[in-house]
Amino acid sequence: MKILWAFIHLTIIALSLPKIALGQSSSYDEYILRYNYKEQKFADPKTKIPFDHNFMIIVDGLDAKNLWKAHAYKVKWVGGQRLKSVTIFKDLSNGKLDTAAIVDMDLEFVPNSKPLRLKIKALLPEVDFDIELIYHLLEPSRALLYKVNQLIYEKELGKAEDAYKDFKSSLRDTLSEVSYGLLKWQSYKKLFDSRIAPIYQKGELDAQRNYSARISEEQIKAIAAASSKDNPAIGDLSNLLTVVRNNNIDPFLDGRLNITKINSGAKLIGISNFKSRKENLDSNMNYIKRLMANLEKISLYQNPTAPSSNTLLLSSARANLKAILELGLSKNRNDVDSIDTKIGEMTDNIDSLKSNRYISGKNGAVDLKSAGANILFLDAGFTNILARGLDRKTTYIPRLYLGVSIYFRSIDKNTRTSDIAKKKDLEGLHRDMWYNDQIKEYQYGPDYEIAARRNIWQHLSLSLGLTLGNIPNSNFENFYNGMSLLIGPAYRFKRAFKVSAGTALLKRSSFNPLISEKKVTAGFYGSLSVDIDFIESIKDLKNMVFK
Amino acid sequence: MKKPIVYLIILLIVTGCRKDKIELSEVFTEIDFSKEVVEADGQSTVTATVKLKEDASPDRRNVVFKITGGTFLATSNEKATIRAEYEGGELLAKVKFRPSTVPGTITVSAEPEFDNQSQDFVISKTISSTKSVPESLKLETSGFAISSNFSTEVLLTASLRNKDNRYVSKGYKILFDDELSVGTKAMGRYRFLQSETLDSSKVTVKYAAAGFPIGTNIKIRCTLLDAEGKRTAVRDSLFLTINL
Repeated sequence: MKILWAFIHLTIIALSLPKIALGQSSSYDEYILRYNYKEQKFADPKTKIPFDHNFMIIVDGLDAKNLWKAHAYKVKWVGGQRLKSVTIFKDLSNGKLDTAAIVDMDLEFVPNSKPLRLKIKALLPEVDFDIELIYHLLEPSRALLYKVNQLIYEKELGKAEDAYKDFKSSLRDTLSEVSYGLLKWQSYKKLFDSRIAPIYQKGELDAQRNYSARISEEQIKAIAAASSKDNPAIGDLSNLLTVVRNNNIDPFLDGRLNITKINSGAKLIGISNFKSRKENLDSNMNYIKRLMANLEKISLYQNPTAPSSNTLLLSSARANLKAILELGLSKNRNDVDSIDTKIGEMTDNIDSLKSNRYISGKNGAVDLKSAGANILFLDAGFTNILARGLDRKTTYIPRLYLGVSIYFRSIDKNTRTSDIAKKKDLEGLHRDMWYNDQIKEYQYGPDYEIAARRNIWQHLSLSLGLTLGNIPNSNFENFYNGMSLLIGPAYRFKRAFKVSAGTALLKRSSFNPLISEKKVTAGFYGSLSVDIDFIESIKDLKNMVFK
Repeated sequence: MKKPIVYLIILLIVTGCRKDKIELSEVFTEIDFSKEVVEADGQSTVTATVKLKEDASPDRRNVVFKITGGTFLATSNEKATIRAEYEGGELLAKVKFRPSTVPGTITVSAEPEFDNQSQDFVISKTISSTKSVPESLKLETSGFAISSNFSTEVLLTASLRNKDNRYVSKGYKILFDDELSVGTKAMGRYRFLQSETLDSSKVTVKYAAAGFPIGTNIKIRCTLLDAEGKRTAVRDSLFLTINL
């Protein structure tokens, strides 16, 4: 009876243990893994991707700038190839069956983080997965697409198609050689005509405005006359003079002409070549700003009380240069920027024009030993066996025992239940195609196939126990080698504790009085046990206190 | 994972469903006697044989026999523990017993020495014991000389035997009488008369003679009485002589 009371007390203590005694803070920061994107491996070769735990991956070599979405996909090996796991689903748009890799999880990431910090919700054990980082067009691809746009707009369709191929190649993740965008040339051409071409046309019209800003040859000469050999920065004034003499002030103002290259025979570029115009405008603006700064220095040497005709010319030149900078160059620069932004936004909104980067991973065990360690756990506890005695009454046999819990899936015993989402908490769970009323589009997933969900299998195990010591009741004997066997389901609670009930196998004298050999018989048992590691930690604590 | 679980469930069912009610036939298959009828003479012997199931463990072959209406030779009482031995491929526990001298029934029961705590395993058999009928009677005395005037006594013993010269059953009555050689009653006195036979198939009495001259012969006669108290032909006699 005393032992029964001890068992009840132990159970009460286990249930009343406060969370703080066993817990730790819940966040992605508990597990931080460092991944080198260029080398496609973790910084620490011993890194194990956790399961049943939220964790964070810091990806050296990538950042969160321009990162649009981060998706995780379940991956499986088929015929020696690592492929995304596909789902058969009904295509709601045409009612036919279709197959596609459905996104498993939308991953969170720390905005603007550099290096990229990905937050990953608790995964199932033993899953192969790919993380696809989908970026808005990265700079090299964006430049190539500009080239494509320019060629389409200039009706150079053959060259444009070739340029589009280069652009598509640039979208491919160079390491995984998988591309996200699959927009074909014809589709893009249509899309350009309908949505991007108007932007080009408007930009072209804007550039053809009449500019009031002008500078005369006399004003340039006045600047030159006021300059001296001590002020060499004024030396390239001849470039501006050439522009004026060649009547190229408009191409200079709208960026078709680069003033610094005018004497090297550079030709005028097209008005729709916004990217080059942007560069030219920057160059032209710097030229004028430098000239204006030098002009300010020259004015220091002028006598303000006795202005000459040259002084007056310089003054008007300064005003004209200011107008050229502010009303001409800056305005055009803003226009080009605006067009650039509009085209950028337009292309960013095209889901099939994205750059992507891949990270592959697998969690769980990599070898048999660690696989076993994730499934088999040792515990020690106290069991109460009830067996039918020879008097046909229930005999109570209390015993200490050592047990092995065999889980039906890998278990991280340090996991708190709260780390794992309930099924109802998985946002937007869709196993296949669905219609999003808010954005009026068909969407896929996420199906959360690789996500750990809170369920019974994180707690339930098959418990195999071996009792310790002989049975005092002479009608009974241990099952084998001084130990009786306990088999039954066990339920883990508070991470380290288990309750189990099931069948106890032991030996009992035969009801036949002529048979002295004890026969295996089954009884019922109920037990409470504690994980061996938990007991070890108590031992360590004891050693620290009582050494 | 499924197969081991199925095997486990089967094992549990097999072990859990083992019957705990044992039939008597799983312990003893037979009990037999060497005779079906025996005379209640206290001397005849009968062998009771119990057949055990052959799979009895070596340390569980002791059988406890109990008897009513007789005694076991091995222990001279009503209980005997006998170890069963193999004979001709059969596991047999044999015990010999004698019937009592009281006719009626003899019941021999056998049970395993080990106690099951919840169930008895007793096999028994009953046979009849018939009356052991006297065929002869023999009278004996503790001395042939006796004093007159009741001054000394002799012990007279009448022993009955059946046709096999064994004891007779209990309860047979003997009549003692005395007479002088002239045919008159000697008028002796009897003391501690045990008129009926007991287990030893004897009747005894102490006899003292009246006043007679020395040398007087007194004839002592004993006669078996039938159930109605009438004299039978079974009788014996002897002479005592007055010597003082």
